[in-house]
Amino acid sequence: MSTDSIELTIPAKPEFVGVVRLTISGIANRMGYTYEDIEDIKIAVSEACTNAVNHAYREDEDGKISLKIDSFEDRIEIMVIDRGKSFDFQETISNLRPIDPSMSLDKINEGGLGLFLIETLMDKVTISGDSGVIVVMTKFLKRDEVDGHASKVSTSTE
Amino acid sequence: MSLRIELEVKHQVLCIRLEGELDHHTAESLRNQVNDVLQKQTINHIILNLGELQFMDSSGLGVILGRYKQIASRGGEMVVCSISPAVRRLFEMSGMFKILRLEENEQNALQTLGVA
Repeated sequence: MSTDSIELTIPAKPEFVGVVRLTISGIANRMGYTYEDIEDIKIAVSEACTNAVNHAYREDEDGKISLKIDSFEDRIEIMVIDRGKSFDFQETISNLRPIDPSMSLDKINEGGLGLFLIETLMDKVTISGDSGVIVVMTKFLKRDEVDGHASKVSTSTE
Repeated sequence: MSLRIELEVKHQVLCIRLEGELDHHTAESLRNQVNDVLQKQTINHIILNLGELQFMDSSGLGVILGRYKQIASRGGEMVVCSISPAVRRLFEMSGMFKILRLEENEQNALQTLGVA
Protein backbone atom coordinates (compact mmCIF):
# COMPACT_ATOMS: atom_id res chain seq x y z
CA MET A 1 0.00 0.00 0.00
CA SER A 2 1.42 3.38 -0.94
CA THR A 3 2.12 5.97 1.72
CA ASP A 4 2.44 9.68 1.29
CA SER A 5 4.63 11.16 3.94
CA ILE A 6 4.81 14.78 5.04
CA GLU A 7 7.36 16.08 7.50
CA LEU A 8 7.18 19.36 9.33
CA THR A 9 9.41 20.96 11.96
CA ILE A 10 8.22 23.98 13.91
CA PRO A 11 9.74 26.11 16.69
CA ALA A 12 8.36 24.92 20.03
CA LYS A 13 6.37 28.14 20.48
CA PRO A 14 2.60 28.42 21.03
CA GLU A 15 2.07 30.69 18.02
CA PHE A 16 3.14 27.90 15.62
CA VAL A 17 0.58 25.33 16.79
CA GLY A 18 -2.03 27.05 14.62
CA VAL A 19 0.19 26.52 11.57
CA VAL A 20 0.25 22.76 12.30
CA ARG A 21 -3.57 22.73 12.60
CA LEU A 22 -3.89 24.43 9.23
CA THR A 23 -1.49 21.95 7.60
CA ILE A 24 -3.16 18.91 9.12
CA SER A 25 -6.66 20.04 8.16
CA GLY A 26 -5.44 20.51 4.59
CA ILE A 27 -4.05 16.99 4.46
CA ALA A 28 -7.10 15.40 6.13
CA ASN A 29 -9.41 17.30 3.81
CA ARG A 30 -7.49 16.06 0.76
CA MET A 31 -7.77 12.49 2.06
CA GLY A 32 -11.55 12.75 2.27
CA TYR A 33 -12.22 12.96 5.99
CA THR A 34 -15.57 14.33 7.11
CA TYR A 35 -15.86 17.79 8.64
CA GLU A 36 -16.29 16.28 12.11
CA ASP A 37 -13.28 13.97 11.75
CA ILE A 38 -11.13 16.87 10.57
CA GLU A 39 -12.16 18.84 13.67
CA ASP A 40 -11.26 15.82 15.84
CA ILE A 41 -7.83 15.50 14.23
CA LYS A 42 -7.21 19.26 14.57
CA ILE A 43 -7.95 19.19 18.30
CA ALA A 44 -5.83 16.06 18.90
CA VAL A 45 -2.85 17.52 17.02
CA SER A 46 -3.26 20.85 18.76
CA GLU A 47 -3.20 19.08 22.15
CA ALA A 48 -0.11 17.02 21.32
CA CYS A 49 1.80 20.06 20.05
CA THR A 50 0.69 22.22 23.00
CA ASN A 51 1.85 19.50 25.41
CA ALA A 52 5.21 19.48 23.66
CA VAL A 53 5.46 23.27 23.90
CA ASN A 54 4.46 23.24 27.58
CA HIS A 55 6.15 20.27 29.13
CA ALA A 56 9.20 19.90 27.03
CA TYR A 57 10.60 23.30 26.43
CA ARG A 58 9.99 25.43 29.45
CA GLU A 59 13.65 26.42 29.73
CA ASP A 60 14.83 25.96 26.18
CA GLU A 61 14.11 28.92 23.90
CA ASP A 62 15.30 27.17 20.74
CA GLY A 63 13.36 23.93 21.13
CA LYS A 64 11.77 22.35 18.08
CA ILE A 65 8.84 20.01 17.49
CA SER A 66 8.92 17.57 14.60
CA LEU A 67 5.87 16.08 12.96
CA LYS A 68 5.67 13.18 10.56
CA ILE A 69 2.31 12.72 8.90
CA ASP A 70 1.74 9.50 6.97
CA SER A 71 -1.33 9.28 4.82
CA PHE A 72 -2.41 5.72 4.01
CA GLU A 73 -5.40 4.66 1.94
CA ASP A 74 -7.42 3.90 5.06
CA ARG A 75 -5.90 6.08 7.76
CA ILE A 76 -3.75 9.01 8.78
CA GLU A 77 -0.88 8.53 11.21
CA ILE A 78 0.51 11.58 12.94
CA MET A 79 3.73 11.43 14.90
CA VAL A 80 4.60 14.35 17.16
CA ILE A 81 8.17 14.28 18.42
CA ASP A 82 9.82 16.59 20.90
CA ARG A 83 13.30 16.20 22.27
CA GLY A 84 12.78 18.10 25.49
CA LYS A 85 12.43 16.77 29.01
CA SER A 86 9.73 14.12 29.14
CA PHE A 87 7.00 14.15 31.76
CA ASP A 88 5.64 11.19 33.70
CA PHE A 89 3.10 10.16 31.08
CA GLN A 90 2.20 6.86 32.78
CA GLU A 91 0.94 8.73 35.79
CA THR A 92 -0.70 11.39 33.64
CA ILE A 93 -2.53 8.79 31.55
CA SER A 94 -3.88 7.02 34.62
CA ASN A 95 -5.43 10.31 35.73
CA LEU A 96 -7.27 11.09 32.47
CA ARG A 97 -10.93 11.94 32.87
CA PRO A 98 -13.53 14.49 31.82
CA ILE A 99 -14.81 17.13 34.21
CA ASP A 100 -16.64 15.64 37.18
CA PRO A 101 -19.10 18.06 38.78
CA SER A 102 -18.90 16.16 42.09
CA MET A 103 -15.24 17.08 42.44
CA SER A 104 -14.47 20.19 44.44
CA LEU A 105 -13.62 23.19 42.28
CA ASP A 106 -9.96 23.17 43.26
CA LYS A 107 -9.55 19.56 42.23
CA ILE A 108 -10.77 19.99 38.64
CA ASN A 109 -7.64 19.32 36.65
CA GLU A 110 -7.27 21.74 33.76
CA GLY A 111 -4.07 20.17 32.48
CA GLY A 112 -5.21 16.54 32.23
CA LEU A 113 -7.92 17.34 29.69
CA GLY A 114 -5.50 17.53 26.75
CA LEU A 115 -4.42 13.91 26.83
CA PHE A 116 -7.97 12.81 27.62
CA LEU A 117 -9.12 14.52 24.41
CA ILE A 118 -6.37 12.92 22.31
CA GLU A 119 -7.40 9.48 23.61
CA THR A 120 -11.08 10.20 22.99
CA LEU A 121 -10.77 11.73 19.53
CA MET A 122 -8.27 9.40 17.87
CA ASP A 123 -8.67 5.68 17.12
CA LYS A 124 -5.22 4.63 18.29
CA VAL A 125 -2.72 6.51 20.44
CA THR A 126 0.73 5.50 21.67
CA ILE A 127 2.97 7.66 23.80
CA SER A 128 6.59 6.76 24.37
CA GLY A 129 10.00 8.25 24.91
CA ASP A 130 12.99 8.58 27.19
CA SER A 131 14.65 11.95 26.81
CA GLY A 132 11.75 13.36 24.82
CA VAL A 133 8.17 12.39 24.09
CA ILE A 134 6.81 10.73 20.96
CA VAL A 135 3.05 10.69 20.43
CA VAL A 136 1.69 8.62 17.56
CA MET A 137 -1.99 9.11 16.74
CA THR A 138 -4.03 7.23 14.17
CA LYS A 139 -7.44 8.07 12.74
CA PHE A 140 -9.14 5.70 10.32
CA LEU A 141 -10.90 6.92 7.23
CA LYS A 142 -14.50 5.71 7.30
CA ARG A 143 -15.72 5.02 3.81
CA ASP A 144 -19.33 4.04 3.28
CA GLU A 145 -20.25 0.51 2.26
CA VAL A 146 -21.29 1.34 -1.30
CA ASP A 147 -17.82 2.71 -2.09
CA GLY A 148 -16.17 -0.43 -0.73
CA HIS A 149 -18.27 -2.76 -2.85
CA ALA A 150 -17.82 -0.68 -5.98
CA SER A 151 -14.04 -0.83 -5.78
CA LYS A 152 -14.11 -4.59 -5.12
CA VAL A 153 -16.22 -5.18 -8.23
CA SER A 154 -13.98 -3.09 -10.45
CA THR A 155 -10.78 -4.90 -9.39
CA SER A 156 -12.29 -8.38 -9.88
CA THR A 157 -13.30 -7.67 -13.48
CA GLU A 158 -9.80 -6.59 -14.46
CA MET B 1 -5.48 32.08 13.11
CA SER B 2 -6.05 34.58 15.86
CA LEU B 3 -8.65 35.47 18.42
CA ARG B 4 -10.83 38.55 18.55
CA ILE B 5 -12.06 39.32 22.04
CA GLU B 6 -14.98 41.63 22.78
CA LEU B 7 -15.86 42.39 26.38
CA GLU B 8 -18.97 44.26 27.47
CA VAL B 9 -20.44 44.77 30.94
CA LYS B 10 -24.24 44.98 31.17
CA HIS B 11 -25.89 45.26 34.60
CA GLN B 12 -22.85 43.72 36.29
CA VAL B 13 -22.87 40.80 33.84
CA LEU B 14 -19.69 40.40 31.80
CA CYS B 15 -20.38 39.37 28.20
CA ILE B 16 -17.38 37.74 26.53
CA ARG B 17 -17.67 37.45 22.75
CA LEU B 18 -15.04 35.39 20.98
CA GLU B 19 -14.26 35.13 17.29
CA GLY B 20 -11.52 32.98 15.73
CA GLU B 21 -9.39 30.34 17.42
CA LEU B 22 -8.92 29.85 21.15
CA ASP B 23 -5.80 27.78 21.79
CA HIS B 24 -2.77 27.94 24.08
CA HIS B 25 -1.37 30.93 22.22
CA THR B 26 -4.52 33.07 22.36
CA ALA B 27 -5.71 31.81 25.76
CA GLU B 28 -3.26 33.99 27.63
CA SER B 29 -4.58 37.31 26.36
CA LEU B 30 -8.17 36.22 27.07
CA ARG B 31 -7.18 35.25 30.62
CA ASN B 32 -5.49 38.61 31.20
CA GLN B 33 -8.28 40.72 29.73
CA VAL B 34 -11.05 38.95 31.65
CA ASN B 35 -9.09 38.98 34.91
CA ASP B 36 -8.54 42.70 34.47
CA VAL B 37 -12.30 43.35 34.26
CA LEU B 38 -13.05 40.98 37.16
CA GLN B 39 -10.59 42.88 39.35
CA LYS B 40 -11.63 46.40 38.43
CA GLN B 41 -15.40 46.06 38.24
CA THR B 42 -18.18 44.41 40.19
CA ILE B 43 -19.18 41.40 38.12
CA ASN B 44 -21.88 38.99 39.27
CA HIS B 45 -22.16 36.65 36.28
CA ILE B 46 -20.38 35.83 33.02
CA ILE B 47 -21.94 35.16 29.61
CA LEU B 48 -19.77 33.46 27.00
CA ASN B 49 -20.84 34.08 23.41
CA LEU B 50 -19.04 31.50 21.26
CA GLY B 51 -21.10 31.81 18.08
CA GLU B 52 -18.16 33.01 15.99
CA LEU B 53 -15.53 30.81 17.62
CA GLN B 54 -14.19 28.33 15.06
CA PHE B 55 -11.75 26.35 17.15
CA MET B 56 -11.05 25.56 20.78
CA ASP B 57 -8.82 23.04 22.53
CA SER B 58 -8.11 22.17 26.16
CA SER B 59 -6.14 25.38 26.68
CA GLY B 60 -9.36 27.25 25.94
CA LEU B 61 -11.31 24.95 28.25
CA GLY B 62 -8.70 25.70 30.91
CA VAL B 63 -9.19 29.46 30.68
CA ILE B 64 -12.96 29.08 30.81
CA LEU B 65 -12.75 26.71 33.79
CA GLY B 66 -10.48 29.14 35.59
CA ARG B 67 -12.89 32.06 35.09
CA TYR B 68 -15.79 29.77 36.06
CA LYS B 69 -14.06 29.03 39.35
CA GLN B 70 -13.62 32.74 40.02
CA ILE B 71 -17.24 33.65 39.33
CA ALA B 72 -18.60 30.56 41.10
CA SER B 73 -16.59 31.36 44.21
CA ARG B 74 -18.46 34.71 44.33
CA GLY B 75 -21.75 32.86 44.00
CA GLY B 76 -22.15 33.83 40.35
CA GLU B 77 -23.04 31.83 37.26
CA MET B 78 -21.41 31.29 33.87
CA VAL B 79 -23.74 30.86 30.91
CA VAL B 80 -22.70 29.82 27.40
CA CYS B 81 -24.67 30.92 24.36
CA SER B 82 -24.51 30.72 20.54
CA ILE B 83 -22.10 27.82 20.34
CA SER B 84 -20.77 26.36 17.04
CA PRO B 85 -21.20 22.60 16.38
CA ALA B 86 -17.44 21.96 16.65
CA VAL B 87 -17.05 23.73 19.98
CA ARG B 88 -20.30 22.23 21.26
CA ARG B 89 -18.89 18.74 20.66
CA LEU B 90 -15.73 19.63 22.56
CA PHE B 91 -17.83 20.92 25.47
CA GLU B 92 -19.92 17.72 25.51
CA MET B 93 -16.88 15.46 25.40
CA SER B 94 -15.05 17.21 28.17
CA GLY B 95 -18.05 17.51 30.44
CA MET B 96 -18.27 21.31 30.43
CA PHE B 97 -22.08 21.26 30.30
CA LYS B 98 -22.10 19.59 33.70
CA ILE B 99 -21.02 22.89 35.19
CA LEU B 100 -22.06 25.51 32.61
CA ARG B 101 -25.58 26.29 31.49
CA LEU B 102 -26.31 26.60 27.76
CA GLU B 103 -28.71 29.20 26.38
CA GLU B 104 -29.67 29.88 22.79
CA ASN B 105 -28.54 33.49 22.59
CA GLU B 106 -27.28 36.41 24.62
CA GLN B 107 -30.74 37.87 25.19
CA ASN B 108 -32.03 34.58 26.64
CA ALA B 109 -28.93 34.27 28.76
CA LEU B 110 -29.40 37.78 30.18
CA GLN B 111 -33.07 37.06 30.91
CA THR B 112 -32.30 33.86 32.79
CA LEU B 113 -29.79 35.81 34.86
CA GLY B 114 -32.60 38.20 35.70
CA VAL B 115 -31.06 41.35 34.27
CA ALA B 116 -32.88 41.91 30.97
